Amino acid sequence: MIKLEKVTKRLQGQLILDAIDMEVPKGTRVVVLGPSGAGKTILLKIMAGLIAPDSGQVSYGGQMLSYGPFADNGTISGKLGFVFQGGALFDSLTVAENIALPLREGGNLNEKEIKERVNQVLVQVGLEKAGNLRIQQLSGGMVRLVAIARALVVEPLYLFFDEPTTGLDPVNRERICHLLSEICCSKDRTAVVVTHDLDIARKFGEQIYLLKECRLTSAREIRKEDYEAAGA
Amino acid sequence: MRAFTGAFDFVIFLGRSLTLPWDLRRTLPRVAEQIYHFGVGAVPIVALASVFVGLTTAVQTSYQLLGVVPHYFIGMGVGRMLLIELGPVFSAFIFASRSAPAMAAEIGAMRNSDQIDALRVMGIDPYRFLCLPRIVAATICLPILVVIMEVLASFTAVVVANWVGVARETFVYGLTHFVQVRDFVGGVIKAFIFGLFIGACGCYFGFNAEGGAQEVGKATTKAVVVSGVLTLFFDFIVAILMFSR
Repeated sequence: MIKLEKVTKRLQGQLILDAIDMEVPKGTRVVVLGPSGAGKTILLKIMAGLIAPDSGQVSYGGQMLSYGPFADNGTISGKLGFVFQGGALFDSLTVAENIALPLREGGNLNEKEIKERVNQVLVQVGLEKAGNLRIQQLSGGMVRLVAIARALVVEPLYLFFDEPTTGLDPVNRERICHLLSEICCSKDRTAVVVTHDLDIARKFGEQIYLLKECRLTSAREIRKEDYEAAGA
Repeated sequence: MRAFTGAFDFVIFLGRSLTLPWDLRRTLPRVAEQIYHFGVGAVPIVALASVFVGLTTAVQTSYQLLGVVPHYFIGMGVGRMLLIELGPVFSAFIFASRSAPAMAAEIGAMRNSDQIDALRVMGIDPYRFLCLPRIVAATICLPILVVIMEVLASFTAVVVANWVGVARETFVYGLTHFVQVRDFVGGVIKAFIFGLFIGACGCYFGFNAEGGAQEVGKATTKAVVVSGVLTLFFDFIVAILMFSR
């Protein structure tokens, strides 16, 4: 379980998150909706241990996340997968090399096992023929798929998606929606998606939250007009 | 106050980047890549600068000392100036202006496109993956570039000795008989320290360049400026420790 307790964050003096409490049970698919600039990405990065909150804490199964240059979240960090909005892929590497990176740098697999694993996730995301392409050669939808493949290759227990469908055409959007449901169907895998795409929230979310005015509201309390505001 | 906190952050960053273990199997190929990029790539510009440093030093020294001291003093002065001061400092400035902004821009762009965060999520230590190889490469490269500059600049000075009014044999006598091993070692020690801090500056300012393209631009400028200031600061410290009587 991921647990946030009284998480508060300010950026340049402006309050972004105000004493956020949230519990994400193991194996749950959570969607956080919110208008642009509401602080969804900040919240997601705090959950993943990438940004330190000003106050409050985040824990995984009771183990607190630590922050700062000497922070060691040893047992947690290997279990996370994060799909960034822009992909965060390395331009100097090919698609296959990008996906293999966490295995080459952190794992104990040999080169043959790494190639097998990379091919397996490429097939899973439908990019089996794109392994040798450079990142500059990819479309926006393909970049998202490669980013998802790279997150999946380490078989994470916790998956975080930052606006996975934003800026995509309807075909790619549908494809990613379908893929998210497929890869998060495992009961062991916990997924958190932040988006302002209401459609993905309805299709994917088991728990839905709205982040608005620095506060989280659970789905039962969200009114239709709030949804519309979040999707605007 | 900001300068002190910045200096403290910088020291923490440097310590974190150089923290053991280094995982040599993965780090060494990356160090080699950076040495090629920042070291080998800098040889032509350092060589060209060396020619002018040698020429100018020979002309200036003879202008100031010719007719005042024995002629071989001019060769000695040129040699010791190049080894102790001009070789290390000029090479460091060239290296800092070429490598520090490149490191800052590259790492800053990675910071702004979430690639550094992506490394962390993948369980890859960004300090070890990005900063350590660049800092180590800079620390190795700069002393080699300094030696290249010292050799080429000295050679150029010898070539123009007759032209500046000193017999070449006399110039070479001064250059070879009065230069001490300590002069050379001191220059190389300076170069190691300069390289370490130039590499660290490039990485530090890039690593902290959050806020878009404008911040990356500021980071590259800061990387060059602070590298230059630290070069002069440590030049003074080494001068006190090694060359003061």
